[in-house]
Amino acid sequence: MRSKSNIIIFHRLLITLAFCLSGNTAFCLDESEMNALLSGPATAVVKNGFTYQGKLSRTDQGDLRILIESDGGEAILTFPREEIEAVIFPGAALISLAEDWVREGSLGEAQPVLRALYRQRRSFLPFLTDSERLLLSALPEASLLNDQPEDAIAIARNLLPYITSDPLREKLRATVLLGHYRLGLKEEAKDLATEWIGRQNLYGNSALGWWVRAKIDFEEKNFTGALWTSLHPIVFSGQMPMDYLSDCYALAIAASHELQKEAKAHLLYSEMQTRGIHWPEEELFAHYRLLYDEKHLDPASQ
Amino acid sequence: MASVNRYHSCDRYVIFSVFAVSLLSLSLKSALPGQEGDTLQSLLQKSTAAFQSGRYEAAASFFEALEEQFSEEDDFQSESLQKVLLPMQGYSLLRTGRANLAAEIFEYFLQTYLEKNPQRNFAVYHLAQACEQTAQTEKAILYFRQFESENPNRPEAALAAMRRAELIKTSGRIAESIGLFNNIYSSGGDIAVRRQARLRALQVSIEAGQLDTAENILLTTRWKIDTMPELAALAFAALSTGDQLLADNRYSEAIRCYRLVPPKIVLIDKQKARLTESRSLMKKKARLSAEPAKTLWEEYYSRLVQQLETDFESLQKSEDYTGGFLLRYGQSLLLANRGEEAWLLFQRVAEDSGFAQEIQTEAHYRWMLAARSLQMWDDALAIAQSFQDLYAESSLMPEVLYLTAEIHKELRQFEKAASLLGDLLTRYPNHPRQARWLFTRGHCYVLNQRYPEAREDFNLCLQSGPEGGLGNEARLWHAMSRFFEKDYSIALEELGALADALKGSPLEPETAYWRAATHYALKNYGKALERIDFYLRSFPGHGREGEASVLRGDILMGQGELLGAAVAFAKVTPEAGNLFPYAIFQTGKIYRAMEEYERMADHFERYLARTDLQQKPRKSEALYWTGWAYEQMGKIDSAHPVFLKALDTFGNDVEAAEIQLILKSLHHLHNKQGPQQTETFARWLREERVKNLAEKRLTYHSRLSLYQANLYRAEKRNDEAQALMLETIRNVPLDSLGAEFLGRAGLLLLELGFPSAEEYFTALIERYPHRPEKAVGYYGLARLQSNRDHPSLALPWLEKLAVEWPLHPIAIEAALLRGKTLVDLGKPRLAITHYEEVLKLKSARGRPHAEALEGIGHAYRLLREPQKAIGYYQRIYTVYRAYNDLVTASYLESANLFEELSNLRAARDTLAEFLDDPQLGEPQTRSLARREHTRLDSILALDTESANQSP
Repeated sequence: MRSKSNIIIFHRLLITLAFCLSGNTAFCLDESEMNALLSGPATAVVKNGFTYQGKLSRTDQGDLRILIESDGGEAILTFPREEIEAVIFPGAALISLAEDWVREGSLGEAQPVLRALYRQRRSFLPFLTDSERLLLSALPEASLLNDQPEDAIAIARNLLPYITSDPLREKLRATVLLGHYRLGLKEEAKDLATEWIGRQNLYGNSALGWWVRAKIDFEEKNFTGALWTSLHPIVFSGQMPMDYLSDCYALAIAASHELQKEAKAHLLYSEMQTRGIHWPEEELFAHYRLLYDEKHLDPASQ
Repeated sequence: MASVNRYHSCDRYVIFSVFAVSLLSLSLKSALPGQEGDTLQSLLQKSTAAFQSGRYEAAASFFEALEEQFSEEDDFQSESLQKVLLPMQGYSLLRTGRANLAAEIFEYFLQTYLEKNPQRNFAVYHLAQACEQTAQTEKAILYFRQFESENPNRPEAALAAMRRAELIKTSGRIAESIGLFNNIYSSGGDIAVRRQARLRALQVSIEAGQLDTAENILLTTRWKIDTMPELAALAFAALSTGDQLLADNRYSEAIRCYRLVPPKIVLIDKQKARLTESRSLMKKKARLSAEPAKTLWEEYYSRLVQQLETDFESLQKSEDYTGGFLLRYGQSLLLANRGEEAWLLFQRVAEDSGFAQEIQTEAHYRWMLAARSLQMWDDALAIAQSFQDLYAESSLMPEVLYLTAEIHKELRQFEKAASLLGDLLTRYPNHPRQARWLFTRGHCYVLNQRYPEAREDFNLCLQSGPEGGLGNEARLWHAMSRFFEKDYSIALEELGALADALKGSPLEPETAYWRAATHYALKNYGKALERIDFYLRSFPGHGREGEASVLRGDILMGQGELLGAAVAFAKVTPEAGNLFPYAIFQTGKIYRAMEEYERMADHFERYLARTDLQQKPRKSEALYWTGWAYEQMGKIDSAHPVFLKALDTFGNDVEAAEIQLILKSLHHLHNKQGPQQTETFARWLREERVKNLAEKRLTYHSRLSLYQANLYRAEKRNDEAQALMLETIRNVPLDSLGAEFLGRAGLLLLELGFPSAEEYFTALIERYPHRPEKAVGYYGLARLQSNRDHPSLALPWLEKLAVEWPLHPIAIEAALLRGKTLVDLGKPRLAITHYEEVLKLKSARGRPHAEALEGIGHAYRLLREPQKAIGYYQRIYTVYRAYNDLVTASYLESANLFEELSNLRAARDTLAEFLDDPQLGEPQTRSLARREHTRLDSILALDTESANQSP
């Protein structure tokens, strides 16, 4: 038996070396190559100092099971969660690559790598380190960006029980909410938005829940509901940027217009400009912008 | 308040680390001995080490010792050593509170060594600081400026400029100081320093009371400040500016300022975050730095953390401004006509138990104000009710109750409003708003046509010494109540007296308008015209300008100046709202009166063809009158298609009015062309009914059926009329029924005792709030309640009907029912007053008058005043003999009452008179009367006999 820390270092070095020697990066790796890099035995480091290398699985009770091959035979060892110090999976180089992408905000590019890492580790979430969980928690948002809301919801829900950081939990919940909305599951999205709203403090930094609820109201031609809901974050917004605030402004303007409250729509549009809030890109609202943009209204400017 | 003047704690080591390095690298010619064995070199090393590690007291002592021990030495006097040593010594003295000495050393250094190098920059900057500390402000300003001009591209130049701006401010040159801070903000330097400069410009403006400047800075800067203490500085500056703008009634600008204010909890969180971050940085620096820098960082961070802790503590302890600020922000939203946003804000505060109860209470009250501003009356009432449930003891209760009364008034529930105001007046007899409450109750009474009570309240209001313009309002409404009561002469007198008193007051134009209107009502058309022209000339743009133009048209119509009237009506523009269609139709009426049918048709056709109107009400009526005008011109070929077009376009439009009238006109048109055409119309009507039912044009189908039912009724084929109505009720859902059908159907169902009548009346009221047929809805609901023996529930409907639709044909029946309801409520005397009003109405002549007489008779009977009762019954059988049932009942009641009065002879004679007319009464009644007559006759015979026998 080797010492615990030596084993960890040795293992990581080995994987990194193998990856570097391949002279490749994940840019060129296809899914099967990534899977190959991630397959192979994992190492369990036990609190008593011993390490075991083999194929990992979980028992029904959630304990870690290791299948060790030696001398032509096999042995299965089972450890309760609390006895495990760390689990080291192959493919550490992919982790650094994914971390770089996530840090740069290139979630679209990161998604295939994150998904491969997630598949490798999804059965062992309780055994992951905080930094591993933090990295994987970027996957739901990346999936949403790549138009895979079902994956986003499933992964976020799997990760949630193991995430302790409040901001991160909120981010995952937001992904779940957006995923439902994107899937057209309006009733569920409404419920989730209501829950989201219930968790917010005055002057939060996002208007997501209000926006989802107002947008669904608008789509269902409940313009009064859409107006009132979208106005809420507008009232409680300050000088710092707020996510989805511009979308709420656009919704409030569109709903006011539909309710024949043109003066209100004008006021909100002008306020939006004064506050330097840009009109959202969503096509649904482009028409309303044309109606209230002074540049379009002023014949001299045409 | 947290200060933002921390920028001078910048990383000064960047500036002068060069001295230490230079000093250590100096190559000394010899190692000279010093006191206690120190050589020049060892002492230099000691002083450098002390200086580098920030132990300035020690460094200053070493520098002093150096001077004392080695001042005569050439090495010490060497230029290269002095150039390095002097700035360090000066700085050490400055840091140890000996700014005067420091200034001397820096000044000497600058005078002696003139070349430009980092040491010189250092000396200039710190000489400026030394001057600042020794109150040599102007000198300090000069040196900071020198530093800036000699180092324009160094980041420290901005810091020097900041200090200079502060000193300029200290010396009282506020505008210059603000200008300099703004220049720093506009420069291309570090964004953090620029924002600090902008913040200081803002703070100085506020301190100096330059609110325009403060506002300009606040509102033209994209702040994006998320860290403490800058966030707190911005918040407090924005809060005070917002408050000032709110006080100046500049609500939109106040809103923009309040948007820059986060709640206190955000400041606390940010401060906590900064503290945590600084603590962690302190640990990190301590771990990573090597000695002596380690000590330096430890010192720096421990001071910073200590300061942050103190700030955090005082922030936590400071009074929470959030609730008050949110109330003022909400108020700005409310006053800027942003009712929805104000509602959301007040509701949030009212429902958040984290706020003090006093704030919640205030927010709850203002939430109600927001609902009222949006005219969401039901919600406003619900909010008021929850306020009463939650805060019954609140000092705001009178305001809430008053607002509730005002809302009932808006809902035209005048009795409810008056009753609530009555409670208020009783519950708070010494409240300063008593006069206002009295006035408002008087106003409610006026609107509910209870003019004497209204005047009583206006008089009480005047007696209680109202403030401001309320007294004038009370006087004006007092006069107007006379007008509404048709007591025009007194109204004119009062308005005339007021006109002089109100000269120059905001009520002057109002008074002028009503004087004209009163003259018009008195048919003094000349005076009325004079007055209305005076009004229009003197008060252009006043709120009643549109009405005045219409009144002028009506006056000219009264004078027979029809063309002049048409010109006056033509001046009424679409901006006048409902008055515009009124003027259009009045003009049509003028052409009709002038028998200018061609112009009339043309006038309505032009109205129908207008494309510039956002709303074009009464289109179906306009079409009707167009067709009618053609008909009058004998242009049946033109009239016919107009009527058919009107029916085709609007027949199935549930909102369209006058469809029955158009059908009638079409029918009339056919009738004029002979019996064959009459038959054609009847066939067309039948076929149209069937066709529209099949095509599911159910509204039109119901209207055709109603017309057909009316025809049946006119032909006394009541059963067929009823069957057709019931069939249509079955075929057409409630939503597809127009106002007229709903009313007629409701009344039929009521007669037949179907409870579904209520649905029809309710739908009529809810869906057609501005249509006269609504009156039928009110009447129907009142009758339903009356039938259910709920007179108190019947009365409000009848009151509403009387106020809103006093001239509707059903108003007379409703007035009679109101009399009966008052009797049922045990108010026979009030009922009598009411019936007497009916008797004054010419339009109620005939049976309604007879019924009113009967009602009065009945009321007097209940009041045990039989003689008065008999008088009224006698008027019935004297004047209204056509109404068999009423006459019969009156004879019998009179006979009974005479008997009650022991006037048996009169009782018997009354019955005899009744029996003499064979047309009166059913056989059963007659037989009863005959028996009574016999009984009385025999009693009287006995009496006569006894009388004869008596001595």
